[in-house]
Amino acid sequence: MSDELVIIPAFNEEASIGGLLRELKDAQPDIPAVVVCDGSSDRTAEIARKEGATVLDLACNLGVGSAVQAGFQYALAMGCQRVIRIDGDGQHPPSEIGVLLEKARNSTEDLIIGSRFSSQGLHTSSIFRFMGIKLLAVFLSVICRKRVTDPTSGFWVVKRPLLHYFAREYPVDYPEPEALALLRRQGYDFAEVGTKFRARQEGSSSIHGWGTVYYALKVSFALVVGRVRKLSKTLSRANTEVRP
Amino acid sequence: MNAIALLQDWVTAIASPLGPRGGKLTFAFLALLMMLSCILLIKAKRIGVFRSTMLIAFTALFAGLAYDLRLIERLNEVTFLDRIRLLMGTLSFLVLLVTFEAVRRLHLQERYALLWLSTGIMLLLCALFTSILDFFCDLFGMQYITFIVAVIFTFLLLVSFHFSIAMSRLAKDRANLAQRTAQLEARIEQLEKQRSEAKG
Repeated sequence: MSDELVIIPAFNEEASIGGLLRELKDAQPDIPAVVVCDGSSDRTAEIARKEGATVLDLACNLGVGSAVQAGFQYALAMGCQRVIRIDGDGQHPPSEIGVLLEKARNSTEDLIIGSRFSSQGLHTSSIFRFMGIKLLAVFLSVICRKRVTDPTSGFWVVKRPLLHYFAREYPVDYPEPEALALLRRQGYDFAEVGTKFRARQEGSSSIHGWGTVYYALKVSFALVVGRVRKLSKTLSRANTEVRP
Repeated sequence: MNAIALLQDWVTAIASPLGPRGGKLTFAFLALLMMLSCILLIKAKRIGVFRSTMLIAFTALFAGLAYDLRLIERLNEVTFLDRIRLLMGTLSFLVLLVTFEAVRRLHLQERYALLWLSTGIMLLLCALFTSILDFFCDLFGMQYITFIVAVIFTFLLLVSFHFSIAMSRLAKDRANLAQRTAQLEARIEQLEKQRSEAKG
């Protein structure tokens, strides 16, 4: 088994998952892929299996947070050191994984985030969304006492100590900003790397219309409550660092 | 014409073909029938706590009416406050009985029954001791009936909040199960693949 693993949460992504897996095989031929099929009703799991990926087929739709967590749990059980997490819709180009892995192998941070704002390639669909993300970035930077430029990015490399924590505790929906705040409190560290993002190839963002309002409210509430939540001692950085 | 007078009229209308003592006789007959069936059913063990309690309650009511039809008239004499207390008492008995019966039949777990039991007990206390309630009514400037509504409302809020917590826990358990089975499936697939490769 390889030291590294790509996990791809996918909910009804039959149109893009096949192409993405082929692209991934071209870019990183040595890294196996795990597709977490989040209770999809289409042929996502079937196509992913045909492309040679391992499929974690969730029995019901749990939301992206729990789907990604299933991937983390699997990677932890398989003994992986680094887990690359990319979206199933193809907005994180596999050709950029090399940049993130390079950084992950040569740094001490537990989480490497691909940021679309610290480089040139800037892709957001509207000025409203751009402002929302910026506001969240400022808020999160204050909470984390460290600069965050792209808080909603799901283009991640997670290292093993942090896998122990995420396999046990991971936010449920729209998890990324919340996870950042939690991991900082728990004693872990992250770093951002500028990467190119693509516009979505198929489908549309899960955050639109009233969803935007729900997203903003849910994330802000979760961030505030997260500040006063009890820390889990057994899952602190100092403890998970020495675990196998 | 008020509600109780109307009730009285209905009873007389039903019993009138049987003569002046017809009403009493009808109720005596009904009470006897119910008492007999109750005894028979309990002896044959064909009846649970819930239904036997209901039967006995009706038997008592009919027997009371057979003794004196003016029992209905008496209702007319008590104040509205007492009628509400009577209603509250019946309601609390019903809540307690239904909860107890649901737990007995294993339809309801004890942990979810506790809040319902306290709701029933609270209502019963409200019906029995108006003097305690007078204090609270005075404190918050409420009428007795308003206070009763407030008590019921509070307990319903508590119960539904309890449900929200239970639901969140169930959702988490569900996620854990789905994640675990998905991993097991993936492992089985890998093992099968390894085995078929080793064979072929």
